[in-house]
Amino acid sequence: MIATDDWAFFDRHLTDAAITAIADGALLRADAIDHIAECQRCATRLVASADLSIDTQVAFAEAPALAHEHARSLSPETPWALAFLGLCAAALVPVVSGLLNPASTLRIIRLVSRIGIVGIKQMAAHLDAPSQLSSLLLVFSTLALAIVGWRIASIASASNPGEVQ
Amino acid sequence: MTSSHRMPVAESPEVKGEWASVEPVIAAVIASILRRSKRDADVRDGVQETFRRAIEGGGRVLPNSSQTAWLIGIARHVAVDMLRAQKRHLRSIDDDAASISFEPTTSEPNAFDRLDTAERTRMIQRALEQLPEVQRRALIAFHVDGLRYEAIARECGVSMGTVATWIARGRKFIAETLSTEEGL
Repeated sequence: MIATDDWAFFDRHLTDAAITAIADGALLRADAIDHIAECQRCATRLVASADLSIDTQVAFAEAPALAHEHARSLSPETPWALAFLGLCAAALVPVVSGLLNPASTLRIIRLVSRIGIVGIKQMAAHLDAPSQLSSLLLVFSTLALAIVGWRIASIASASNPGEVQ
Repeated sequence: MTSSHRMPVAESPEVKGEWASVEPVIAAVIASILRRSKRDADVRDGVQETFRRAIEGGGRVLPNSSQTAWLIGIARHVAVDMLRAQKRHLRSIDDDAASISFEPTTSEPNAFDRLDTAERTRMIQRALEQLPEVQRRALIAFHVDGLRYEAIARECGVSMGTVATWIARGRKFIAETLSTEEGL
């Protein structure tokens, strides 16, 4: 299957990469296979490589956590992470505006912190769900947090008009 | 060795289909262990016996596992059985001839065989954590996602030789880590 190949042979023997590819059925070049038939050293390496392939597969099959971890790592997390960071920044706006208003600063920080803690707990509980669903939950929770924070800041500003800068 | 099985095995859908391309590799492994030509009658019998055992044990193939690797493992056992049969035959003819060692080095248990399942999984997890990112991703793409080398190469934008190198080095590192931790 692999067409070209100075990587297949080195010093008149098959390379480790070629041996591995043959063991996994990815390299079926005639000259490489002929060499296996004639070279006991490479045949022994091939059998060992096939064993290692199977053993590694067994290990992965017996360790579902590895597969789960990978499922998360392969999710398109970068765009979601950027969206999350953007919404976090949006959520910080009312907090900052609250800080500029000394009368409501403490109340706003307390409220936003409580909402944030509850949101984080809820999101953490959903981290075992499929990764995209978790990301969506994360984004919408943060969006809701931003809206609530913004409303709180607006109400605080309206109730203390003289303190608005 | 198994002439009675030859025709049914050769006509099975597995042998005619997916396994057909692997047959030369199986023949090469058996030829090398038996120290015969690939066209030798015993080698051909060994190939058929390998496929027969593979068909009988088909339910044991793991998802995403390499069929070729699995068949090579069976071929090794078939060849070892043939060597032992030859050894017994030689003993019956001449005791001196029996002193010749036909046992291939590949029959020795490796580091994996000496560990129980839980310990092996823990060791492999630790070894995976130490692997460079590209090697770990290639191993997981092959063993967990079931991607072929071509697909991994396409996804990563590298040649298949590079993918083979990543997988070879990743597995070698895992095997070496196990050997070191076991003090083998």
